[in-house]
Amino acid sequence: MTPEGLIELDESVLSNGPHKVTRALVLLLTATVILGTTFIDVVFPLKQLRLQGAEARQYSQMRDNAHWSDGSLARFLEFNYRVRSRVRSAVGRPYANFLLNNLNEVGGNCVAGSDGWLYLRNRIEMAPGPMEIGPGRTAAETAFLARRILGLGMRPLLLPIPRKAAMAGEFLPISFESHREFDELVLDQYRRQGLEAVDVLPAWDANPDAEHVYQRRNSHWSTVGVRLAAEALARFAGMLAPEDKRLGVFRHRDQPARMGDLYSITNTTRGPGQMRYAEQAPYFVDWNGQDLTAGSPDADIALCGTSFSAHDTLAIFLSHYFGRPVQCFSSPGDPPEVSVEKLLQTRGPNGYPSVLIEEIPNHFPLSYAANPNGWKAQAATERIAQAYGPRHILPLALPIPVSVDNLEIGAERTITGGERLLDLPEGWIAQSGGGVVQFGLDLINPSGEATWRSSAGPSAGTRRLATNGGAIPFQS
Amino acid sequence: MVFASGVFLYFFLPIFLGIYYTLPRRMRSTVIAVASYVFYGWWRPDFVILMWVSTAVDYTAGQRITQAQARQSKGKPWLWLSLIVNLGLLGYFKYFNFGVDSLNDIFVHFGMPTMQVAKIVLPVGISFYTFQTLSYTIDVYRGRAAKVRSFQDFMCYVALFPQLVAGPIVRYNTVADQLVNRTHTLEKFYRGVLAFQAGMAKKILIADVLGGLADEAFAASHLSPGYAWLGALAYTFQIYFDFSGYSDMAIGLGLMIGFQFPVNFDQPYRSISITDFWRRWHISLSSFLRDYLYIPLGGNRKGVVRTYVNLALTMLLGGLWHGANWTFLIWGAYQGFWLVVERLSGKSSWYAFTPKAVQMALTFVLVIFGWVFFRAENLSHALEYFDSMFGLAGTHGALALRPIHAVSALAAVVVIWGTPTTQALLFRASIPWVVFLQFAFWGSLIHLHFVSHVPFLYFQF
Repeated sequence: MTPEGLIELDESVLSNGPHKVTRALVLLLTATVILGTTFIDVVFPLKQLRLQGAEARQYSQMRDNAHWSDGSLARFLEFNYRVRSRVRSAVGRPYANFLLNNLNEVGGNCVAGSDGWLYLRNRIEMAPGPMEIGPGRTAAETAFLARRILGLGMRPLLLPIPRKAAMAGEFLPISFESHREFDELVLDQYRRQGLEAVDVLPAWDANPDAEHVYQRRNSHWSTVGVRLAAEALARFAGMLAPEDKRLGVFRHRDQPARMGDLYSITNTTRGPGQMRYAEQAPYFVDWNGQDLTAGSPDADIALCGTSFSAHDTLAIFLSHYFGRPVQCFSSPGDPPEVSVEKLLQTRGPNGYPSVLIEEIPNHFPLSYAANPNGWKAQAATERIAQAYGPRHILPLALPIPVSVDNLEIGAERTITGGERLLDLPEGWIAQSGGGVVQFGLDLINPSGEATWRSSAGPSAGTRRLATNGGAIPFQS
Repeated sequence: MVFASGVFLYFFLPIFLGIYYTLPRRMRSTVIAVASYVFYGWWRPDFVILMWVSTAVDYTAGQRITQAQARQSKGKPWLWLSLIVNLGLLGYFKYFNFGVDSLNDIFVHFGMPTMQVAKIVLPVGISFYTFQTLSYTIDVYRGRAAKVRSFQDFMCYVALFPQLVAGPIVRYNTVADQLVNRTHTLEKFYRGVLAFQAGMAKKILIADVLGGLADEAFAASHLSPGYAWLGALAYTFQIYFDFSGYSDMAIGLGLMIGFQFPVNFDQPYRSISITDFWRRWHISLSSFLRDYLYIPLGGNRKGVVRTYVNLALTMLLGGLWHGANWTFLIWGAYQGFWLVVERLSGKSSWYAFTPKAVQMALTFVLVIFGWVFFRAENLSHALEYFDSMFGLAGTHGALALRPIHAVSALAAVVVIWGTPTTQALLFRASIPWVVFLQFAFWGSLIHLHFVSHVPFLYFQF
């Protein structure tokens, strides 16, 4: 370094070096790599991805809200470039395969376990704070929705899907635990809310098939998982059709497994999680030549759910075990509430089915606990509440009149000293959709406690809640 | 914008260099300034305004101080204006939240109502460019630098994008001549490319890979001692390769446009004492603190006790400069404590007679302890982590060690203890090193396609 602390560059020494060819080659190669990438990605970009469901909406929202003044345009351009870069696509895939096959290394939000098993990180890591938060809130919202469904004359049946980590925990890396108790807690919370929720864990645990209930390199269940869950649900609902009344028969086929959606998330293939069900099933239900995927518009059983059921496999197996056609409304990339809304809109004029099966993966409560503000189901639930609410409502204008000045609903506010938040006249129901009062108290900073007093109803009495972190939802 | 991103590498940099070398020399400072504003404002254009305020105030202050000095006056009010504006901006954007949170903690403790204020977003790199603009005004005031030739040159100096957001801190008097007269040679450009490539490889292939392991370690509630040490070691490597990687890239980009920036790292993990460590780690900051804080406080000229106080205070404020968190303050105090202890023990202590290898190992362990404070979310988190390191934690967790961690860690060890500094390698630029560097650079470009972008650690400071 120079006496001033600057980087040393004695031109006389540097220029005497015997490396002029090296220099030329380095500059030429670097320029070729950089400018070549620029040229290829600008002139020959990949086609725009065809997104579905929530991913499509998020992309549209990102594009529509992009503005130079807040940097959102910059982020959108960077995202778009990344997704449409031909060089990235061409170079990234073999590199990702190399890393996965040789170093068991995956990128993105994935975790590589043993024996080729891949997991989504946000489905195996528990959120900080009490484990009950996510399941409690999800069960409350699901029960809220179920009351609407019941009110419309349908029998809601819930199919909670245990997480991949709960079933394939033995392949997780050493630092991760399967936390199967979380999945048991989810079921428990649903049942506490009086929901008819099937426990598929016993059926899955007893799986006699060589195929696992989850796909190794896909975030979704395997055909065996679907089949066992469908049978368990039919049995649980008391609607299991006798063998001779079932629709379709099993057929086996021998197809090599292809890459799963987790391969796409790890950049091994292109696209943000769109390659669902790419691992082919070793067997399927053949419905005597009829096309089950066309759906049954007048079916008496409807299925709502997520990408776990969006491609008709579950509907087909349910049809088999129920002995009746099942119409599928599930939507990939969306929470189940979105497809419930779709069902209500579609079937409303012609009469609702008598049974509504709601498939809801157990990572939803987990994602709620991890990110309460990003809870995706809320918008659809609120739309349903407005469109299909109870007939008699005592409206409570928002913001709720409270004794705390300028309290804004949903705003961050630290309250200490035990002020009274809400004082409802006797007999009133404050509703966020009929018979439900929900307050999310954020007691993260500072930690503290809240008291909920009610003189009537199932929550009569006083409950004290204390926390040292996390949002505590409670409802009456 | 970050260096390790597709937008920078494949769009911004080629376009900038194309324009820079196409336009006549007299316009190049302006090109750098405009490009730097685009670079800086890419994610938050409104923060560029802060930089303009700082630029305008210090440019004016420099002019006025020079005019005042021509009239045999010192121009002190203009120095005060610069200090108030720059430190005011820094204080508001960097420390306001910290102050409010700390006060609220006290209020809560005494059962008093707390203050409700909106959170303030920290503008990236404000700590760096604030120090740079201050150095200009102070140097002009002290007569160590002449006022800048033109406003364009000053805009260029303040906004100089290669080192804008994470250093090295370039003091005005070290680049004053370069702003006006700097040479552009192919050889310089070539060395710049090599430095940039080396920094990129350090950042992408070592820092980011080991950073994942460090994140996992510090997020775990309790680890068994071996894993806790590994986690701390992973962070020790991460912060060095992240920051020195950025500095190498900055130096490289500077060379590409004719600037010679200060050396920022000199094999710090080979230090034989904490005093030695601070001569080798973030040299541009430690020398800035020495010249603009420690010496003005009196340095070692006001007695033994005052020397120790000055030393501790300098390190305390140096810690606080890194971030508005008690952990940084404690880290600064920790560094200051060891500097004082080393000064107290003198050159005749037992430590001075131990073998160099032992001194290096002991210093390295002390540095690791310091990084635990630095990395922890808060003090209790740091103490919990120490519990894990010393087997005092109740439960024992593990880290998901993968082969790629071993590969990166091995590379880190070889680079830290087995090779000369990037600057030395750059100077020699032997063919094997250059060839190896090309593979490392291409590897880092490919790896960059593979991973989501990971911001540089020092952006937050």
